Amino acid sequence: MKYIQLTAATLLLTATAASAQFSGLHFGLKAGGTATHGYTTIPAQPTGIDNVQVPYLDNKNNGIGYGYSVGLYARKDMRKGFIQAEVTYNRFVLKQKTDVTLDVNANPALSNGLPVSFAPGVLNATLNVTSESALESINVPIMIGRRILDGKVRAYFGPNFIFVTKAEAIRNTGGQINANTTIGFAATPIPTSPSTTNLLNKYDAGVLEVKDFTYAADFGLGISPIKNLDLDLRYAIPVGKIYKDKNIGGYLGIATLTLGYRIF
Amino acid sequence: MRINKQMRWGLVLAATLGMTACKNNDVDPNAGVVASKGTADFSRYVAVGNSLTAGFADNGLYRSGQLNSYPNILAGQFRTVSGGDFVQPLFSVDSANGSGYLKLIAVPTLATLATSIVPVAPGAARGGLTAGGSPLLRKFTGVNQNLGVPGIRMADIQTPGYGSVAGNQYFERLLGNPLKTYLSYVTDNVASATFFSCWMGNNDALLYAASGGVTPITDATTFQTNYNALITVLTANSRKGVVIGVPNVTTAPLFTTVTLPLLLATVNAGVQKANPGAPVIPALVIQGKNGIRATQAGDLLLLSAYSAGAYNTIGSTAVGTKNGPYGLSATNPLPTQLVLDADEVTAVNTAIGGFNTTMKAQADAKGLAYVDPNAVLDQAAKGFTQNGVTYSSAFVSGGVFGLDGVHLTPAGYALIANEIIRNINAKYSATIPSVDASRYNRVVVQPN
Repeated sequence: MKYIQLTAATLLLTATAASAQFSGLHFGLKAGGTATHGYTTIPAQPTGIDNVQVPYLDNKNNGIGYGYSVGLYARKDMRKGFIQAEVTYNRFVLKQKTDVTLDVNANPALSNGLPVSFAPGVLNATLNVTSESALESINVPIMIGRRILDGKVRAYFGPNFIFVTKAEAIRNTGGQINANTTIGFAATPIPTSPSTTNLLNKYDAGVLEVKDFTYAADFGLGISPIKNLDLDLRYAIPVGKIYKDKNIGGYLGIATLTLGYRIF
Repeated sequence: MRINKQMRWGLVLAATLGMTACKNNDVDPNAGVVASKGTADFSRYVAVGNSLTAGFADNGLYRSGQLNSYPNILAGQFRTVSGGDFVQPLFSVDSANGSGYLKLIAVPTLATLATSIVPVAPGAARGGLTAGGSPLLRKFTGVNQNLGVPGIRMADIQTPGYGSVAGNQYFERLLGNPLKTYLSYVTDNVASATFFSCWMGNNDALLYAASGGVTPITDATTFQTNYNALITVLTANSRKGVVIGVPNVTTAPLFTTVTLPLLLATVNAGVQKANPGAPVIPALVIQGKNGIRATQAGDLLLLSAYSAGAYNTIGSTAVGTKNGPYGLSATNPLPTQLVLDADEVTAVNTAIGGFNTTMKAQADAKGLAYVDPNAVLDQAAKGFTQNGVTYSSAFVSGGVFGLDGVHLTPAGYALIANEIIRNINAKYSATIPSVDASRYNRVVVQPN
């Protein structure tokens, strides 16, 4: 399904470009940077162990993550408006952080690292996690908009079809196993260690498995200060959701600043 | 001291601490393999054996241990290849503590070992005692597929009355007729079975080792006679199965945790405190298999004796023969039951080798799968890491042996189950999936 959609979108753009003999049709290249921010909330998850769950997680925004966008576009100018289709390759980086206290049995890597097992509720750990989730995708935005000042300024909006090709999270996790004086367990630091998770693999990603296709609502503003050069600032909200699990909440916003060169 | 080194509580954390539930950081060993039963039929499985088969753990038989018995783990995997239900003589939820057991209530050090490991009272005592003073347990006389009887030796399987109040409390629990022999009980319960496992023989050697050489080893002739009789019953009608050999019992923590250097260091520390500058005591004096002598490399001390405080009086002239310092004098040596001396170690290992030769020969003659449990336990003695868990034969922290230093933890039973599955698969061209041992508990800290 993903590739049928991608092929259809590419054909649309190709057909649009092939119609360039008609006046008001333009074709060009574009490249620029992306800036991503957002937060994610993950409901408590069962573990299969009685009275043990992974608690509610609030992955807070941890600054702006920067990526890139390169591609080509075709634009059909009309009297006051225009329609533009693009195919771009993009990298979005989402930086987040969370602090959580959980039963050691809720995290196999944690419980397996201890020399004995602990009954549920006996020992917990406080973890500090920072993550950079990088998502790479082929995007096909279809924008319609208004031309102002003879096309020197453009305002537009439209859907953006996102075909995810790669999604992985690099996490750095540290913290400590908290003391429990009742059982004679002293607080034990957990050295910060990195890990990489393939977010497109359900076995690896678990509840955080990312969709391989989604869509966003884009809106933006473009200016053409000199002939054949377009400067565009766009903002996208992936209203089609990123994660397969419908219970994951949060917000994700992507700003893109690109410079385009109009070939004709 | 060695025990302190064993009880490190630093983390050996895996590289990943994913924040999602149900994530397994390792590759599924069964990925891509379609489960098949091969040439065997697991539709009705019966397990024959002793405490290891019953799920005995932490010096007791209790519900949680029964649920984690290796036969129950095997039965779960057999279900992936059309295996049927597996009925165990489980203690009910309201009597879950069974015969009573030991539990760990705090992270132990050598000094706090005695107070960190505490007994849990029996939950299934029905009143009355066996002749040996053990509580009689609530009966389970229904259909049974886990025939494991803690304590039973090969030498006992044809003894009438072994399941009476004069005999074994665990077998007594299973019988309506107290004079029925174990072999007869097996005959009754295996009749409709399509597949069996048999792990017997441990106690024929272990009881000798655990008693410091006092309880005799079963003689080879009796062992062979009874084993042949048992296998004949089990393989009736060309029934297929798997037999498991006897582990090298002296590698268990019961014998390896309290070392001679450790005990000598403790004794010398006491001597120096009482008499600074006194000569260092280089060895203890013991009653060995072949006479009174100084301890030497290869002599093994018993964790059970240490925990009971039996070594605390070394040097005293008020115990033992009271004729010289206890354990330091040829006129007042440590008694044989407190030490498994090197000659006794040799004797028990020789006997185990003979038992295993007998069992493997029978397995080969009957076309059965044979499992050498030492493949796993020797690996544990060296230490190994699997799915993020580091296993060893260290007491408490090693993850394989439970609090009695002999029987296995649920994780240890899972490791054994995987070795049994591996051999079944090889013998019967099956592809039964293994289990992830890291999902099973090791020794559990559970405060009161």
